[in-house]
Amino acid sequence: MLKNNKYLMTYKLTWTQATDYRFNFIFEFICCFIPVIALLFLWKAIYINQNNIGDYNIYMMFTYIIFARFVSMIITPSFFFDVTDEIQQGTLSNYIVKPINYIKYWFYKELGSKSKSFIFGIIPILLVCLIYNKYVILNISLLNCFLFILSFLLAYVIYFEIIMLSSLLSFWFYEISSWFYTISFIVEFLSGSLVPIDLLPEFLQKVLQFLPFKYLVFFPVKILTNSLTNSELLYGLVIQLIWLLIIFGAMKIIWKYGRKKYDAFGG
Amino acid sequence: MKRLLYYIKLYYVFIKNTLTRETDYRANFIGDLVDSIANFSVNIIFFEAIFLNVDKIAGWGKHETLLLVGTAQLITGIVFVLYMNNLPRIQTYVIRGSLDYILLKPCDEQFYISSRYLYFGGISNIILSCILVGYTLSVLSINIEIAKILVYIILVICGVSICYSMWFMIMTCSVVLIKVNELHELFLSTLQFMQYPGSIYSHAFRIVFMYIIPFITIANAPVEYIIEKATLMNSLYSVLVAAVFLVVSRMFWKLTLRWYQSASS
Repeated sequence: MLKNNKYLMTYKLTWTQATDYRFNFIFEFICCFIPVIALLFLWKAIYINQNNIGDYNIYMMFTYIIFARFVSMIITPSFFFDVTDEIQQGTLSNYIVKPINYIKYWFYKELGSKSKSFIFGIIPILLVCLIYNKYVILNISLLNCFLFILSFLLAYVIYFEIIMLSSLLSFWFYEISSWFYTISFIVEFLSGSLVPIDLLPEFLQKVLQFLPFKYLVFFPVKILTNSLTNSELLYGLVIQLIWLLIIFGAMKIIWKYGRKKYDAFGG
Repeated sequence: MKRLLYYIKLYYVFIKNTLTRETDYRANFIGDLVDSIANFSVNIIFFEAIFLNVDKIAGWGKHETLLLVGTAQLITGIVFVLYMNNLPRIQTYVIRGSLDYILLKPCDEQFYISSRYLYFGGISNIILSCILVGYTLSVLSINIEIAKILVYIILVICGVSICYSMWFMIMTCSVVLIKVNELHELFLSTLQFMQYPGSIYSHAFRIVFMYIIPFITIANAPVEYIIEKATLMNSLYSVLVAAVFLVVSRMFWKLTLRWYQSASS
């Protein structure tokens, strides 16, 4: 219990810090939702002449976009620049001399601010759903809700690992910050935040079956909208678990070699 | 005139200096190029996916939309090459205190801050978008006249200016607010939306997004002109918007600097 205490402390501290920057969070949410307006206009224009695109009618599409945006907002990590800064400026040394696992520390830190975001985020989501309530359809069982939460948590950890792995690459690449926007844009696209994966060209869908990206947003939202068969659901959860473990391993390896390089420079 | 030559020479030195710096980080340069290519491809795939299922979006056919995407990517590429390594640094300058050091320099501060470094990674974006623009123009069988191309280029330059002014105004806020990360993220994500045809918006939103937060104007104006969805007179509103935004951003900058200098003494 004593060992876990320092990480729970980190979580608590970030949580408290989040309350101090209340305005920031609300602002952050507004900023995340304004781009959705343009996207919804685009889809409205696309649906003008037809009722169905793929398996989606306009109501399903709007529901999908709003939920996908919400999930994407919550699980997208925000520590990339902080970690790359710490590695490149040398402040990483402050953590290495302490008996603390750097990656675990950041995990709990991020969790603290994200939990706060989640709670603050529910309100604008409900608001948007109310405004567009003729567009948003939700029929969901308790089991689905539980499975969604499970999938959502797995997606959160996977996304954390992906971004942490990318920021650890700054042990080797100096100007990695410019990569971040494109990494996030590609991940955002491949995770299904902009367009549902099942509307993409066939060959891309086949490739994405085996990559972790579509399991970040598309898969959890599909569970929420009750559009998966039981076998698809199970299959997806297993793939999520497998990717979680693979990227975890890769992250550990990169950290080990990055630390060696960092120490070689005299810390 | 002498002053103008001074700034041109200064800019030339900046370019040379950045080039020297960048050649030291060759791996990163290649990374940036790959980066831009990936970004470009994702945008194309997005619209290809949509047009697999529809014929037109708000009156824009597939190749017209791709021309819009190409133009938007061209403008984004130019803006990134010129300003990606400069404008986000303003926040860093403020936090680290190096803004004061910049204010001591003999040249205009806005010029220095905006043009000190270049981002060569955006070059692949520019090349790819020129190819896309050329391809879509030929598929749409548009007559290529010199005069038309010239106006198109002028409207592209206006688009770049509008983009620059908006970005610059947001980063100017960091002198006062220190942390503008959310606003900055918002700006960069709205850059995507200049690829969407302006006609998808309802009337009220269109006015806002054409004149107040004019991200529609940036790419729609040159494209609407060249495919003749708008007359020359109508397209020139872009020049007006660009001029207004440049002036406003400069005034805002000067005002903020005055506040900053009085605050620190």
